[in-house]
Amino acid sequence: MTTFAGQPVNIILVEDDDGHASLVEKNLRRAGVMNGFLRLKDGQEALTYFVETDQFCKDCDTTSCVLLLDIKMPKVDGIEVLRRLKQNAPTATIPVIMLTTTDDPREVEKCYQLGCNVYITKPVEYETFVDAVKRLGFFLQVVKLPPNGKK
Amino acid sequence: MQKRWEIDSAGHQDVTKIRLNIFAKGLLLISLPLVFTVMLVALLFRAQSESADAAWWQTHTKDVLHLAEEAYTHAIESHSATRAYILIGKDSNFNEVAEASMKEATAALDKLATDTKDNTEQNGRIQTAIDRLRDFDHWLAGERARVGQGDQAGAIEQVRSRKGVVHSEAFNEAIDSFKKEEERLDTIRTAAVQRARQVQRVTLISGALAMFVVSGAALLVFGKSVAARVGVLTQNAGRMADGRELLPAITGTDEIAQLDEAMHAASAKLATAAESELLFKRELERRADELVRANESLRQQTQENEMFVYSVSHDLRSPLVNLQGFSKELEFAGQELGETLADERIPADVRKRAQQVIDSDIKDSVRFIQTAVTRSASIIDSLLRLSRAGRVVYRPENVDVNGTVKRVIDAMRGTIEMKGATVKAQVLLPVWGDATAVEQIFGNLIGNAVNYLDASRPGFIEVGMLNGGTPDRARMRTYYVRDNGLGIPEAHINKVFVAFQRLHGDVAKGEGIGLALVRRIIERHGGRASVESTVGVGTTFFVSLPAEARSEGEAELKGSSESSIASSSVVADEARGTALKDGNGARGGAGATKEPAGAVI
Repeated sequence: MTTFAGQPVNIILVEDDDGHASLVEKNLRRAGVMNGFLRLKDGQEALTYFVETDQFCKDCDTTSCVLLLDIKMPKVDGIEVLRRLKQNAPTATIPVIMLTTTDDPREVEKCYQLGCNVYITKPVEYETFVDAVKRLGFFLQVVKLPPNGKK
Repeated sequence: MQKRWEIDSAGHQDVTKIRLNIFAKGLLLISLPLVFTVMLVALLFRAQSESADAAWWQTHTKDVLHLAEEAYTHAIESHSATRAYILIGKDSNFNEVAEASMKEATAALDKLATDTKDNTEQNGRIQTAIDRLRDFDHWLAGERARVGQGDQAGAIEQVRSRKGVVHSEAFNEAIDSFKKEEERLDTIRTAAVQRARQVQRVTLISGALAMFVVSGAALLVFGKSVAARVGVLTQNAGRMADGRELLPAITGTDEIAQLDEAMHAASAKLATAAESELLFKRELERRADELVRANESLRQQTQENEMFVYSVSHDLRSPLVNLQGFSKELEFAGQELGETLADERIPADVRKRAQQVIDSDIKDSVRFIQTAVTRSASIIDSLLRLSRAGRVVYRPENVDVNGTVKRVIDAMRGTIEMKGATVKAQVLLPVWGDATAVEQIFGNLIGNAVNYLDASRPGFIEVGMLNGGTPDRARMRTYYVRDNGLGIPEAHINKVFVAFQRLHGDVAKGEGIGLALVRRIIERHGGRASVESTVGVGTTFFVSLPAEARSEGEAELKGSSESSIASSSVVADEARGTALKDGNGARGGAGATKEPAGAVI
């Protein structure tokens, strides 16, 4: 787990691919998103963090964080994580962005049924992704930008 | 009757070898009573002639008796006339009267003698009578002569002597004996006549009765031999028509038996035919089942293949995300490096050298990587689209092809005008299919036609229907898209519907997926796609699609097990292109129910 030192965790990324995780963080930072950032390596780690321990409650509160959730992961996949989070009262209200390469309509539909807020297909062109995260972040008033935003 | 019995028993005993056909049997039926009639007529004829004979003999006897009486009477008359002559004297004419009467009596007797020649006894009696009459006449003539000579007293004396009476009585006796015999014969002959008549009557009645009986018997036998068997035959015919088992074979050797035999043979053949038909049918059903199974497994395999392609494409996307992202990072790094090089502490030659590396080597490399990544992404996208064409759930409906084609042409208006081409569409009848899929078909075909026009002549594209849109026997309507473009060489024409086969790679961009998509869509609609082309003249694509709803067609259109809600997002996605292409990352707009996403994006 890596957190921005001294900052409350606002953006949690569950992603098994190190490259993707790194790119997501880099692009968010480059776009000026200054929130605290936590990366979890797979679904099991996510479940441990959110449900099985009280680690999540120590780091942040549910009203001020966004979860970016990959679907295709070893051990426990993103859909299972989403289901468990929505069944678990303290975590049920966390906004969730499904972030994945799969645009299988059945998966999309399942995620929406389980209560995800946005479903984003991982783009090869990153700008669109960052744009989407930013917009959702602004909407949720989670994303923090420096006063004179640096691109 | 004996003969008939043999015919009937021939089949059972198999001893009598009389072979009679129906004609002979009918002839027998008619001829037997006829024979009886002839016999009866003969008998009647004989009885008749016997009766006539008897009657003749009766009449003959009566005649003979009459003649005998006549002879007697004339003899008595002659006697009386002679006595009168004697008493009156020679002046009277009684001498002539006596002679005349005697002549008549003699004539009658002579006739009797002739008439009774056949009966010696009676003839003898007549001869006796003739002799006695002659003696009588002789005496009478002598006495009359005496009178003539004047001896009247002598004659009277002679009369008184009763000699005449003796002669008369002798004659009378002879005649009487004849008459008695004749009267006896008369009695016998009268009885004979009566007997003959009786025989005649009996013959007539018994003959009629016998004929009746014989005819009845013949009919009975015919009925048993022919009618009953024809009845069996009729029943068999009915059974054969119903396909039931026939009654046991009819005995005999005539046409009925032959017909029955033929019928049994036909029935046996029919049974064999039915059996083999059943076998064929079962075989056919088995083959049909196999075909259905093969079809199903093929469909499954296709689906599995498409699933495989789909998941592989997605797996390939993951590293592409890294490639794209980190090449961007490199770009940024290069920019940052360039900014860092601006530091004055760095020697000018080093800065220059480093700037060169950044500007040419790194930038070029990154550009090549990015081009490759974009191209890979495009191929993967095509693969996904192709696999989706097979997996997406269709919502069959009546599709207004006319409107669809108009929309497609309008969307391409810019390109068409730029190329200076003319696109003409006939009035197109609707099809039964998925509206989005049908639009994709015409979009691809018309798009291809526009893209591959020949720059050396004004482009002309025509969209129409074959046979005025009349559906064929499979209820398919065939449309065509005809152009006067570059055309497809013969060597390449077999590959036009295969994915990633591009002929004119330099003319238009794309992955060569369009026609493969078209083919897949048409296949899923149960239709056919074909192409005719001549290089330098133009190309015509033919597309057949269902003219109306079909039960099995619908089954195919509904295809996979995906839910219809899931499909809607894909359909929507297909309609506006993939997220990657449009640069529209969020997919929330696909469903109207996803309010938070819709509000954000």
